Amino acid sequence: MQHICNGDQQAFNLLYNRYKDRLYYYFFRMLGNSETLANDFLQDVFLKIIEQPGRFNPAYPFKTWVFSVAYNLCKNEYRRREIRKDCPATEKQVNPELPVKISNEELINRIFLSLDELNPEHRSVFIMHYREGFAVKEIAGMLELAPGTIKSRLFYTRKFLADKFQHLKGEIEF
Amino acid sequence: MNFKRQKMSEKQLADLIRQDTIGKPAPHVEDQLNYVFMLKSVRSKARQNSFSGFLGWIFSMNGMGLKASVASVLFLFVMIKPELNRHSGSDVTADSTRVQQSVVIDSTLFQLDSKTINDSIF
Repeated sequence: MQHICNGDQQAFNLLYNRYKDRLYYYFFRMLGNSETLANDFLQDVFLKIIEQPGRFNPAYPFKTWVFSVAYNLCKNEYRRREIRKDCPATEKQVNPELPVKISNEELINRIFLSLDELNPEHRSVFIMHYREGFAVKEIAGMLELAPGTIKSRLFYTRKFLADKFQHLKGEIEF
Repeated sequence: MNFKRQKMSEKQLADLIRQDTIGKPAPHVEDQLNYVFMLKSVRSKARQNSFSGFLGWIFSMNGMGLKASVASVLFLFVMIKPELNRHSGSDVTADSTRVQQSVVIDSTLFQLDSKTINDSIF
């Protein structure tokens, strides 16, 4: 980050290439699987890094900081949608005619479609923990919540998925 | 990965989610960011070569002690050195009828005789 503050283009490219895919995935799954929004928000995060590098506290890991910025951008987007009410709530329900057997790819898609029914905090906690491998304590720091709250959100999300995929109980159980 | 007839553990669920691929971000995002970064670094380099940083510091609240002490030294210097005091002790009067004293460029004080002036004109 110090190099970026000094205008080192190579350092910026290195940072971008290290985090672009992970942040893109996070935004894509957080913002209704939209490629356009994921690209826009990815750009916004890095613009914040360019414009205000001083906001980064070197006492904390960069990864934690950048994901907390990403989470706050998503939260603001949800708030904007709430105010405008122009974006219909995600009504993408899982197909009621569910197969008894399911491929991993299909299962992942169905998991994220189901997670769209939960609030962004649950979804964010789920992605940060299972995809990014953040510990409960780290997520608590990023989302400014108690670790107990994060644990309960993870538990609730798994329970929610277990209920959603009850038909697959013979094959997979959450 | 085989999840057959077992409760999905934390690790299995994490592995499943990590298998997920959604594609790559659009290349134009990187291009735009590189352009913005280049503009920002050019702007900041131009700022580093200007006085704006110093002027900003002068008018900021930082280093007030240092600024106050420099200002007091300058003030004392002006008070002690009488030649720096612009007050010459002569009043410039321009009431269009009588000029008592006038300060010319070489700072020599001329006493003009008002009678002579009046006589020559009228």
